[in-house]
Amino acid sequence: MTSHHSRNIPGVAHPATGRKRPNPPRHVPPWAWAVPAVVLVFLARYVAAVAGGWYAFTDWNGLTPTATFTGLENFRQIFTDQGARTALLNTVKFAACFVVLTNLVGLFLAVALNQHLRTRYLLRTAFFAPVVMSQLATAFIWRFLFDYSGPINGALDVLGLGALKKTWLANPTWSFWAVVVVLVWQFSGLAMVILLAGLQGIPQEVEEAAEIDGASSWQRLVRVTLPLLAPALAISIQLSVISGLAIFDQVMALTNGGPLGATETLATQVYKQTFVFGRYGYGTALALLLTVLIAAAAIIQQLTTRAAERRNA
Amino acid sequence: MKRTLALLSLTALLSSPALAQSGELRLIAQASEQGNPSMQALVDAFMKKYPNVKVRTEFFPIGTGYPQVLRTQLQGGNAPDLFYVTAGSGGLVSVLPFLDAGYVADLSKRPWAKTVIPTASRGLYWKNNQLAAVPLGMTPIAAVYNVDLLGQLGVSLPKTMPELLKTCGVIRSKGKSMFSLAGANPQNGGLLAATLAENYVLGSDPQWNAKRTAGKVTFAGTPSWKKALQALLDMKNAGCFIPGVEGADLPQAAPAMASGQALAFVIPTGAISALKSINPKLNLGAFVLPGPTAASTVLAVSPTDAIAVSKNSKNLPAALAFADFIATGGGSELYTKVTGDISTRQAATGQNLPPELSGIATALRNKSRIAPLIQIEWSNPQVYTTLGEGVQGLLTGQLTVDALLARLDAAWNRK
Repeated sequence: MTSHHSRNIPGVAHPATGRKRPNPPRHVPPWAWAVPAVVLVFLARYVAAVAGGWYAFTDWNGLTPTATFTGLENFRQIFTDQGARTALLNTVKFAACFVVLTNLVGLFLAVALNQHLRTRYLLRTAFFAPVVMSQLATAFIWRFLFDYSGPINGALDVLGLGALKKTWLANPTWSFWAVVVVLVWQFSGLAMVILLAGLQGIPQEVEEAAEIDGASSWQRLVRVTLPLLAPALAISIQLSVISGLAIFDQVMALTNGGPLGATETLATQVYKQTFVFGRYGYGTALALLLTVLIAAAAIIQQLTTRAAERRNA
Repeated sequence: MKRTLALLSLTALLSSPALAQSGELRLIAQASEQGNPSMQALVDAFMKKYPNVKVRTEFFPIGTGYPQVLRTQLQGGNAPDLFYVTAGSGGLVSVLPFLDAGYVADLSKRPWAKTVIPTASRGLYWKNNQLAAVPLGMTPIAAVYNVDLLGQLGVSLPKTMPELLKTCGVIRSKGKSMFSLAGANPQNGGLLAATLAENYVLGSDPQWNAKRTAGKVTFAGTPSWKKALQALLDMKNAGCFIPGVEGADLPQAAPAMASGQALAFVIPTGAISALKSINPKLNLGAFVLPGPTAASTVLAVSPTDAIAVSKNSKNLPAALAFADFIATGGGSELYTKVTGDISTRQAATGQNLPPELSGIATALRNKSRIAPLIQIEWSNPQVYTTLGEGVQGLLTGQLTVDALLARLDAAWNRK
């Protein structure tokens, strides 16, 4: 038994060969264990992304083996092309509406479902369910709902409001808001869950103390609950800013960026210019711009949140 | 003696072109939700004739899915032996850019090379004395209509644009629409505008594309282009299209035609089988979308669909045999019979057409009034997409005709 174990003990002579096994190094720093994974991530993600980013400064068409360096020409085109400027503006508008409405609806749902309702678990599940559904599949269902001969216009007819019928997804004004409705429907459940977790971390005594001091429900919400909910709100806003700037699936499925660019975003333009028109260089430049935009928004939001936390502290 | 006979028989068999080919080929093509039965039928027939060759087919979604896969495989050095392409240079899988990039085998030395492509369409396949692909058949663009509904409505088929506009009004007064159209789908919207341009632009100047390529004309500076797009607006104002046309995509537009809400649908005739798959009882006919006058009307017919052979195919002899089979071995006839397109012979004579296409037989025989589809000679795919998106802009009132024409010139000049 002893001899069996001694075969596997480093530094102990192997009974058969008589050779000593080398001792492992005694002082391996903990971070060294992370090196293989970090190298892999660095190569697969960051080196690949930077190498791909080089194409933003070329005119590569996706077919020829070589690409010609064109400097900042692609970026000059982005800022002079009406279509790209509209896409940039739409991206910012979608993100702004998405952040505000998703978090407002999410907050409303979180506060409402933080009450001791008997059906609160069922309702929480129901409102969260759209988050885990396929974005593309649900967008196609909404497309059916918004169709000119679809249920929304049908309901308007039944209610005697036929004059309000529209081609929702092809109307230059309403198509934008139709996409926003779908986005808010799908993602406010995520904001609700984050804010609900924040609400449940607020001590009950603080709320009760405010109530005893005579604070109304509104005062308790604004003066007590929201300040204590700030960390959860910051996370929810950060996530929705990033998601809002990168909106793609819903726009492609609902409107394909139409009518005539009214719902076009940078993400849909990246896809179309690159894979539909074969303008890989220009598409990469658009993707780089979108990345910078998202990074800038995230950094600004982080700095703002930290400044607010320092003020409160 | 027996041994000698056996050897002679074997030699004779192996000298047969069909048995001389062996090995495996990979063919990729686009497919709809129903797959690509016509391509599969072609492949099956080839394998029956060439029993030692196995052709593996891979189908990818129609739209942007297939072009993306094809480009990635070509660029990534994983090119299929055979792949579906379209003629010319104006589409997402147009063959001439692939020829320029060095991905397709030159077919100019095949015995059929000089004869299989109609003279008017040579520029769509030939470049620098190289032949880029073999056409699968000819694709007419026609107004495919519901014969039974035409009888119920009590109207006759229009032969000029003014007649068409009047007919639209009559049909609208009876609660139906003259045309189904997927206004939100750039490919379908663009097709209607391009078909109108056949009549208005190529009808008066058959060399317009060549002049545009040479920079001698522009979209914005061509009065006939303004008339073509104005005709589309006139059709809209006359109530020719289904309600909500600007928001309709193919899943709305095709059933509108198949269910009898609309009389006709301007489509490649190869899509007839797709309409019949929605409603097998449809009794269909076809007529030429009219121009301003009957005499100026042009029928768009071109060898749009084709198969290219990869320059880097590891089994080039078998791949070339597949191209030969399409051109002269009965492959084209088989493919077009299944799709609803027509073979080059049917296009040349206007005879032996499927019953649905008998309405365009006379037009097919009038050689001076036939032209290739206008957009397949355009400089890049963005021009046609701009036209298709612009049609939606015209229907919603976001764009004027002049603004759309300026956009088309900008897209043409884009590198």
